[in-house]
Amino acid sequence: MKGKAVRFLTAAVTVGFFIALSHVSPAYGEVTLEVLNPRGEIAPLEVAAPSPRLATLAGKKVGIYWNDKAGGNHFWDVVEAEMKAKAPRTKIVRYDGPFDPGDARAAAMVKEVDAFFYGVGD
Amino acid sequence: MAGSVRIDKLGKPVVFVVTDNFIHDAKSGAEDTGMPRLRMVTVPADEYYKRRVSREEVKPVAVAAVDALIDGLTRPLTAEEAGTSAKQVEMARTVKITAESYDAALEKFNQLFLDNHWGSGLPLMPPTAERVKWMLTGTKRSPGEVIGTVAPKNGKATIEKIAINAAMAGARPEYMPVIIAAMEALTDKSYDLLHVMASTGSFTLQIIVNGPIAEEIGMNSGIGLLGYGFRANNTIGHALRLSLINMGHLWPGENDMALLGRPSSHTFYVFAENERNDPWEPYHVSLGYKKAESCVTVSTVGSYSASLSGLVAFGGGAVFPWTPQSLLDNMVRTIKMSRDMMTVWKLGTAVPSPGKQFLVLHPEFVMELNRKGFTRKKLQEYLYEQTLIPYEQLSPKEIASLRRRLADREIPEDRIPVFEASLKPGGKVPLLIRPEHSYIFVAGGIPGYSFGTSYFSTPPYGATAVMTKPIRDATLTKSGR
Repeated sequence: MKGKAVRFLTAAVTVGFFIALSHVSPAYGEVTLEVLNPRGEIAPLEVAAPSPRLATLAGKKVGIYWNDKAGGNHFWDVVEAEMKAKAPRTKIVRYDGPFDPGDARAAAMVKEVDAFFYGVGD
Repeated sequence: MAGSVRIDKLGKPVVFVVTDNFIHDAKSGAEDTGMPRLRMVTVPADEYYKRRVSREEVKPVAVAAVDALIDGLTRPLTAEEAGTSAKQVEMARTVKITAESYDAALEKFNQLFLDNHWGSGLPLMPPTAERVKWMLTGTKRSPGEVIGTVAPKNGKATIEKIAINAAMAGARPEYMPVIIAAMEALTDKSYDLLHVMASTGSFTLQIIVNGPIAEEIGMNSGIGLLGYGFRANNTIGHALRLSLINMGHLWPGENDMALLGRPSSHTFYVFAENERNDPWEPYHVSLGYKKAESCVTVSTVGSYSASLSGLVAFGGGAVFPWTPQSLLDNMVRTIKMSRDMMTVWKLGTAVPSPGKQFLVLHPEFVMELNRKGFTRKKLQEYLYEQTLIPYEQLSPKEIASLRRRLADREIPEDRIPVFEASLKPGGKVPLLIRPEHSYIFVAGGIPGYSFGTSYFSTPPYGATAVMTKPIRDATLTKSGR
């Protein structure tokens, strides 16, 4: 009877030890904080590749689109003049308007020129 | 960025020109608009900004860029550029931080969150599952409910994510309905969140709470209303700041280009209307809500100096004597300063439209105005009338600019007859589009100061930047249910 009790006690202590062991931190005295990720999930966006480039600018029309941010006109004036010197057979067409011209204006502009330099001033 | 991508998607090659200090922002914007490999050419920021003052000054910068511009239009796309693979972002639901003690783990957590750009620079509370669950006890809303997306990168704003960020900010669960209502305003499709989040102009947010919930949760509307020491005001603001960082995937110098950073950038301006000391009806009641309802009004406002629409104190206080008329005169004078921009306003640009005024008047001033027969509406009409500009005083450039805005339909349809009638001898041109563009709130202590800010009536990227939302689905307060 006494031997049975000792065996039962030994088994209970052994099981208890392993249960306790499984709940101990990775190393004695370590603290683990489990926290939730605060980031908002971004829905996957369909990716478009840029349009194929032009083989040459000769004989092409290049639009310069500027959003009227002060001083940008001076930069683009010089670019236009330089383009006339470096690519004399390229015609420059100047546009200005909001940050985003919107669908209708964009559709109209792409009918008029072959490529764009686009600058918003920053 | 959206415009250049729009054009390139129509089949015409584009080269986007940007200063080198903005290249991260530009690439991020290209990614957000679905063309991450848009061709770009950079010009040196340390030369461009100071030299763009004249053609002669900027010439070396422009000349140096031309070869790269030509190359950008003619060099064939590489296989990588022509690809359409999207960046895959894995997002773990939880993060484990282990250290030798709680203090060490807390420090490690704070450093990790800051390194990941998930923090604000202030110490954070760890958003454990238990703490977030506690935060969610303040609302009946489902944790998985998506209330909108947050610019610039359009991360989803769910009730649970708001609760996580509120937990990090140290907010209490009873603040949750206020934080959610403010996020509903900011993520509303008509609210121009992109501009306040990203603009170089360092605009900020003003968040005003109305109704009985303000007192129930201990919001300050008196002395020090913009300051520290009030957990509700401060942590509601910080919860919103963290939510905008983490759902908008925002970071200074990367896609938040606010050059000075904004005053009160960690908590914005969060306060309650001082309804106890307000002889007029509360602001939300003037919009048609019942007095017993609670609401939050969010607006984008300028940060610096009157001429840049920033915070201006009109007077009041305990130092210099003041009269109601002296304050009214200062308000009129400040609004009139916006006339400097009359020839610049152009929709869609960085300076798109005349301002809306956000005027926060201290109770004593409003009591005096009330005695003189002013109501909120009468004060709006007074400010509108006093800031009209006689036609004869306009310069030819100002007249031309007004005519262009009319021709381009930049004046709201219902106000066109008013502006057209004003543009003739004997006429008076409005500086405010309409009287209601003065938004008048009552807050501050006794004594107090009256102050104001302003912001574009039509923002650059959206329809509006002022919005009121009802506070609802509260569980821990008597109001806001």
